[in-house]
Amino acid sequence: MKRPRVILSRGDGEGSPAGRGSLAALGMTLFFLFSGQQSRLSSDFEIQQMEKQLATTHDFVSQLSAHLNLGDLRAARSETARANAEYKSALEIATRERLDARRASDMARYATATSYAALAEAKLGVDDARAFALAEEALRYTSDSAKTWNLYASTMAQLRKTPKAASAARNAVTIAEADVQTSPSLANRLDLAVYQYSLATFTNDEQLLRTVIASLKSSAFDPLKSAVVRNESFEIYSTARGDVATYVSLLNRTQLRLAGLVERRGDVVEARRLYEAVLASRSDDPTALTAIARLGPDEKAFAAAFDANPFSIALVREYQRYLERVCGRTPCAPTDDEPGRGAQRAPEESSTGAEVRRALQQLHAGELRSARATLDALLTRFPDNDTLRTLRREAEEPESGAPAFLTGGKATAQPSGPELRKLLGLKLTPEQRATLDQMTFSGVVIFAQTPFASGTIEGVPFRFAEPTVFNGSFAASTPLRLVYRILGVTDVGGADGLLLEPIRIEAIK
Amino acid sequence: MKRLLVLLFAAVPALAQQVASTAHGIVVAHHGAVELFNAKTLDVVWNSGGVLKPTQIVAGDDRVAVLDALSNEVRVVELGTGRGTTIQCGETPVDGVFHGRALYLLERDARALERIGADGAGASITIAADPSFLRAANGRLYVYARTAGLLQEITTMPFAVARSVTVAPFASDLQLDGDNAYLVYPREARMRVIALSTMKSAGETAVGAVPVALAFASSHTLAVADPSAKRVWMIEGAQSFRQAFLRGFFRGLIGLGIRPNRNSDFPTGVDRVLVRGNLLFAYDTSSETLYRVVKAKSTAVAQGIPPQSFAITSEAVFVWDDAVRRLHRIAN
Repeated sequence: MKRPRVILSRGDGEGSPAGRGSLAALGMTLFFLFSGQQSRLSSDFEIQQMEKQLATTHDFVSQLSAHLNLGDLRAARSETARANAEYKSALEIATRERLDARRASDMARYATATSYAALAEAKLGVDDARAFALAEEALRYTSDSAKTWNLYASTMAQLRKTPKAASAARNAVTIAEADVQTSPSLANRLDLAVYQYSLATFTNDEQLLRTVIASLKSSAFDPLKSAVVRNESFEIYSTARGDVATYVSLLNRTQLRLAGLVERRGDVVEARRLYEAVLASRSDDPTALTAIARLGPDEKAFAAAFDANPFSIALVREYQRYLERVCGRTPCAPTDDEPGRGAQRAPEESSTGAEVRRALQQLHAGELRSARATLDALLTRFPDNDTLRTLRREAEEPESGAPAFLTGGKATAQPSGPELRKLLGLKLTPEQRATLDQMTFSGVVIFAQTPFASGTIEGVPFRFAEPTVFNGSFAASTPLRLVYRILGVTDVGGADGLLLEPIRIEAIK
Repeated sequence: MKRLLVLLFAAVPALAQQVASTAHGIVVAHHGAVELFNAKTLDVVWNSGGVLKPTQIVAGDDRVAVLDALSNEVRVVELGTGRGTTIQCGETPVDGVFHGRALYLLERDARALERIGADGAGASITIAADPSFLRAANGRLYVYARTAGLLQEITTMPFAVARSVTVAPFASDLQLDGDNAYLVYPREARMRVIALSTMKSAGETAVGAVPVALAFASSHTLAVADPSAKRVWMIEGAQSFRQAFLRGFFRGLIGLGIRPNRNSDFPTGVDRVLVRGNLLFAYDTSSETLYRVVKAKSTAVAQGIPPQSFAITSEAVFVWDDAVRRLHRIAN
């Protein structure tokens, strides 16, 4: 039986018979401040492991840690409903355990179960006061326990009460330091490192994070390092059971946290080095990949980050900023070689990450109809995903306001590319429809081929109802001036485009 | 036949609520409001704005302070008029006392004791780590810093730490009489006593299995709630404490308590004990059950009532039912 620690929570020594099935075996929760922002499809493995744990082991510790981990993993994938179902299960289990322990007059067990009930309640986010009351209740019995204080800190952090979390983490560290003084065992040292990580997280203490990393890399942890290599351990959990799992998760999270602080103070080179150190241990860590992409920035790094976790809303927003920066207002799918002048089409890869990037590129280009189609296809596969739902809503909503030419009161106009893209996303009122029908437009077009049937106008895809031959000598792939009417929005080679009625064409002088 | 009040809070999240008895009536803090009820008719005397998530009510002679430890807010309300002021305070106000017209607030995570004068003027002193309990005796304030293991005596004029004594850390409750401070330790199953005159240890004794809370049952007797033993232990107090303590030490060691004939047993583990006049009440947080004790025999008074949703006077138990927002009165 392994006891969980929460930086997480983790468990005791691997396979230790002590505390089998009992709360005495519960360790602590490693709390990952950024757990809500990250995850990966590579977390599929962790999810499988936790589901297996749920199915095969039925003691309190195993069930509780599995539900908490599944909740965190689902939350990091923006599957809020599924995450909440897991937290609710964890709360029910902890509540049942509290009552059982109380009936059995086992107050230490009661206190631990109460601490976990507080954490689960906080993760559910429904009743802050109840979570606070439960955390306080646990302290009445075990204020001498560093683990209780660490769980208290994790609960407060979930409630976004960082000063309270920091204060509690400070108490945990004080108690754990005394424990290490008394008994400098590997388990006690690891516990201390967990609490120091929590304290450093809540106080943004870069030096303390470096201390934790140095400690974890010291020879004191050689037995665990050997076990990590021997077992090929790589899984990252927020509630880790066993020393090895705790060691792996703690080192990963401490390095990421440190890298984040270093990046925040502007030392990009050092931050990149730290993120790469994380990737050296786990090549698909989504937080590190996202950071590398952000620091680059380059499309290849974004592709890797999206493959790790396509549903991170933080990554989505980061990529949207990147598209804005690289492509401006023109549609593009940037490539590594020419980040600002990439191909016109979205990526051809078929991974989920690539599909999400494609949707984002379509959104950026104002191709809302295509974006909706892409997102709808994704939603059929990931129906509970909040990030996809958010993007789908954004694909429904046109940019506010109509293009200026629709409200200018003139019969002719030369709309810009952004104005035409805005028109693509606009749901026309009957009045706007009538105005549009009466107007003629002119602009610079490039036809894709002859006879002229489609091309781009001011960078926006268009096509005619049928191929058209004009009087005169005009070539494809050459800028020409087109006078036209707008009939509507249509599909142009898989993307949103304009359906135009040509009136005349002329060379640009 | 006394009636048993059963409330069903479990089906819906119970929002924070606090009830306290005062000389003016029963004060209830709930849903961002504070109300004063007439203790006999249960009519609302006044209502006033409150705090979002009340975690405690501190009652004074003419004012109450409603604490919100989560949001670090305090609402001070005049009992006579219902007029109030909301004050932003230091991190995590967990306890308070009125001393004269001034409110003293214990801010645990700020590690501070703050004085808020009647005019709203504030002053603050730094105290040791994890200050958890604030009590008053002999015109002075006493703060127990739980993880630091320090009992600090504070004078109000000047507002300063006067004396400190190192005591064992991690106590779960502190009570004072005029002479001594009593601390209980659930993990060690012990009670320790500090003489206030000297601020030195006056001894210690074993108490039950997991003693969590205590209250004065009389001037010479302490009631100690022990949820593990499902019992309230009655222990002789301070009159000639050293002698009594010597006896108690040995009795405590064999788990009998000092007044075995007056110990009370309960069907569930009680973890809070309250005394009003000659009446003793005990409360079980896990099953949310309130018991009354008569001649060492316990009877359930109310079930399904969250902690702090009730107040007890020498005449009655008052229970706030948050589901229907109604105050119940159960005569003693």
